[in-house]
Amino acid sequence: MVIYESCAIGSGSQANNPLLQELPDPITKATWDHYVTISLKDAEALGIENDAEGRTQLVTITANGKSVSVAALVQPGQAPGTLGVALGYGRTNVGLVGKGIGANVYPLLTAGESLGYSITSGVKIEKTETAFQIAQTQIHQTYMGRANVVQESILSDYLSNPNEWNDKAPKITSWDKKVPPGSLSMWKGHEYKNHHWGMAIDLNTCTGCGSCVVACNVENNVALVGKEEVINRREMHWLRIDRYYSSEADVEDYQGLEKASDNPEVVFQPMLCQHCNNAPCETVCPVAATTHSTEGLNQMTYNRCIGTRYCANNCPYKVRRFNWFKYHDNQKFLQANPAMNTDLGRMVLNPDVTVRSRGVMEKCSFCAQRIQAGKLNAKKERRPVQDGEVVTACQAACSTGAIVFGDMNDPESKISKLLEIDHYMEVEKDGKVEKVFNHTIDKKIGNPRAYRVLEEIGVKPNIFYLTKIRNKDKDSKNA
Amino acid sequence: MQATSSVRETLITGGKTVRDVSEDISRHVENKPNRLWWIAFGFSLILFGFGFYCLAALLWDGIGLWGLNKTVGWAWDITNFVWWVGIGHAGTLISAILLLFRQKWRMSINRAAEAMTIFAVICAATFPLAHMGRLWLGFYWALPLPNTWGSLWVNFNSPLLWDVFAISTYFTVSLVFWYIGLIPDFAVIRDRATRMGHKTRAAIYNALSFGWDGAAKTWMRYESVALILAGLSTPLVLSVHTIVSFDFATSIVPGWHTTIFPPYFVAGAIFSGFAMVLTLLIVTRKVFKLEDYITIYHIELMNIIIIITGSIVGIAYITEFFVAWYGMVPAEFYAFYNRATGPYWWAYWSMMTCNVISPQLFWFKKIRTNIAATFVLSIIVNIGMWFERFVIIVTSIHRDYLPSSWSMFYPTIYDMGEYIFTFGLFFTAFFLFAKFFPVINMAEVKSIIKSSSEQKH
Amino acid sequence: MSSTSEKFLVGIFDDEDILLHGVEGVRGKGVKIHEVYSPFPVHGLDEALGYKRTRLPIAAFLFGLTGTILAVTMQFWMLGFDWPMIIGGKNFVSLPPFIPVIFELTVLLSALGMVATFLIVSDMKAL
Repeated sequence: MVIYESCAIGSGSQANNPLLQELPDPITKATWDHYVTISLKDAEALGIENDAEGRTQLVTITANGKSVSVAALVQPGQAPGTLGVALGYGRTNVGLVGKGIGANVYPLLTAGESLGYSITSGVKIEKTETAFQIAQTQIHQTYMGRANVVQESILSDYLSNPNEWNDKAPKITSWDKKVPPGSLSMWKGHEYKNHHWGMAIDLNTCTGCGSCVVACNVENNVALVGKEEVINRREMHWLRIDRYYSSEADVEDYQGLEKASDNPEVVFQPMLCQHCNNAPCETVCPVAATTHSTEGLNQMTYNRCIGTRYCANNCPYKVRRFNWFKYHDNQKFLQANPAMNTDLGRMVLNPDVTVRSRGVMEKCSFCAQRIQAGKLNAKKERRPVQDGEVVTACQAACSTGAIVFGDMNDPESKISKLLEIDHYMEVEKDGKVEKVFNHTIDKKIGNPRAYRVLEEIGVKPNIFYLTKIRNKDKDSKNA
Repeated sequence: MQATSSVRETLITGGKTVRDVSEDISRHVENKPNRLWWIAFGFSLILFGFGFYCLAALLWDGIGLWGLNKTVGWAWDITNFVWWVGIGHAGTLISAILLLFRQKWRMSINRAAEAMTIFAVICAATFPLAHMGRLWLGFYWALPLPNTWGSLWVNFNSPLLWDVFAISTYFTVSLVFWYIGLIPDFAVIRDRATRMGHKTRAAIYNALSFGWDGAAKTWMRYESVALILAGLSTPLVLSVHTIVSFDFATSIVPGWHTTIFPPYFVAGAIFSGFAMVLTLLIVTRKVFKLEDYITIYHIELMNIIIIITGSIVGIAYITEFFVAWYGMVPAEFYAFYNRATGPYWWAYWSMMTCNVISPQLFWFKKIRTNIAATFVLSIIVNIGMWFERFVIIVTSIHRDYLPSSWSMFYPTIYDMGEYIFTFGLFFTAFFLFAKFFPVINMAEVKSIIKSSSEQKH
Repeated sequence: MSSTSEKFLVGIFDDEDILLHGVEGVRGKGVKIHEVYSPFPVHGLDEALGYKRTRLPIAAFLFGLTGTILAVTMQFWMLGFDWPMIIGGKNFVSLPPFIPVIFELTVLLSALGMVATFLIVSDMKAL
């Protein structure tokens, strides 16, 4: 049995921090809960049933003569015969937030053993009949072999053909040839004459730690909703990290694809509003509460929103969040969301961002307040906005630099260089071909790793992902 | 003088005369309601009251009382909305399209069917209203009204806005059409009340009939108005469910984004609407002893329409599957695969059983002329049609593009309470209608009494 | 009514066919028929009385046309001129998404206008 410090609340020192309690664990995606991870084989042997929605049973773990009772969570890829349980829960002298969550596993450790070490002998586990539901933010394990969601490659393949994914991408038939789906349009589209904000997220460097999620919560006054609402699948995170396990099943075997393989590979995909240039959410809003700015932002006007939720249904990325209840100024959410429900707590809210009320939709704004601040600063100093001046909260928090944000209309910006954007396009004018600056939404991307999620549905997001490439050369040598 | 056709079947049985028609139908308006009526009405009020409590709680606390979540933004609310709107379609179809086709058999049933339309549309409208996060603003912000933001208007690209226009137009025009039909009959009740010396009743029904006199010129204009209203209602009724289906068809959700939806929805609407008309009329003819006016022949004709529309719906289901497979769009195919085999397989197969298989029983003349069988099957059809909308809405969005967001929908007591509320509303309104309004169009029935009545010799 | 030199004749019929033949016969003899009242529409009576076709269909058409024009101008003006917004990357204005509202307003105004006209010309009022 391995006893480890939880990724979010650490040794327990952060157990009273609701931001971290609600931060999903990178791997299990569990929030607000304490659990022991167990392999599928052992769970079956013990008769533990842990369904996709986190319904499970409590188990009693005994070690060193002490026993605790925690929920069992079946973890794909865990070696049979091992258990993993986090420290930091079950604190008795803790504030309102951390009260009554999980069990204290410090007593299981003997004096000689230090934290994070394993107890190798004398660990007993017994199933109880008490039902328990773990609040997880993601209840489907795999990406169902959908290459339009996650693109993965291995180094040797990538080196031999960097355009592998571009070649494999779905094509549609035009009058005479097959073309990429985005290249056909019924309308001309608008041009962004000034800025064109965009983001690139590198799936290679993302570690799934979740600091961007916390940064986003703090920056944008995102409401925390507590365990019950997470079980109701109503967490408000504007930015989430999708964790997908690999599956060994064939792409057409839908039943098989639902299950993660025994020893899965994991891919993390930060998912936030894609700021689609042809946004499906905007079209369906009856009151024009969500519209596009002339800088490529998909804007949400909270004041105007009447809460039909049609935009969320029509969002292919499911990044829109609805205020099901009044999460602020509501004693029912005092434990989960003290920052909005106590006078002292309200001091930590970001004054630049509205607190959303009940019945309205909200979502990632690309930190519109930061963009605005950057533009105003530049204006005061009578100069154009410089690259790196506007930094989104998630970008600032990312320790590996996986998130790059900037102006795609600026040829010198980091994002332009990363995506290798060709800023000029050829236009035929009076019989002559001229090169003009490309202000349209269709930027020519040079980086072969760059792709947009669900490219073929033609919503043309402003967020690009960079294909995950694994180095498996060592494995192939062994084989 | 009596001309009875040997080709046409008798529409009115029992050898009724013009006087009998007035007598049989006005009687319910004039007499005190019977016990059965009070029991039924009281039960409806209880449903209404419970539902009203759930609705009030929803408005007070928020939409979170329903079982919706970040992935499934619509479930019972829009399912019920589409279901009720669909039911409403039969009334307009019977009174408008059958009028244009000169189908005389409609005359005994059109009044009740139109009333059903009005009440069903009211019930339907409660859902898009209640499902809004901010109803207190949404009910007028969705209209193109000048406002304090200067020139902030509505989004005419949104199918929901088209719905606002379609549903309100449909409701208004149906109401006017129904009321126009009621005017001469109100006058009949007024005249009878005058003769019987009921001054108050005479005054009320005189006002309701706009002082109708029955002059030849008025009748001429009246018939012209009815015909044009029918002509306007026919494309209108087809447009309404077409536009409702646009809510789904114009979206990009796999399983919603289907060009077959408009005709498929319209057929489904007529299918469920006729079933509801049957359910109501089988009860009404029994309670008010109107068996001579609403005959087995009427019921059989309606059952034939149910077979036709049920089969159209069945073909649409199969076509959808075929196109999902043939189209080779993985997300689209998965949506349909998931419908039939995923976590909501039971809803899908309930739909298939109730909508496609059960109406085929009406091919047997014995079944389609049997009152009890018709009654049971008419309810089964509406259960199936409810599942159809549930399947389309929930199974499509609960697993769409990104598997990370896939989730399940579990209804709460408030989801059910809202549905019960509309049942209470519908039946309360229908029983009030049956008591205070003539349930059969007397003027029209009288005009066919000579040609289509069974005569005593 | 005050004139005593005119003669009035009131006939009551209990069968519409007899009524119809009666009307034709009386009119054939040159007698002016003041009015015919009936509890249900009698087909052919308007022709027998020599009434001209009602112009209500024309009213319905004109009201419908008003609705069409109103809907077209409203939508193009609001989204195209008064406050153009980028919605879903689409053009500010285009005809296809405007058709449903155009159709509905046409029907609505046509129906309401015609019925109002009918009530006014037939001198029908609630009280």
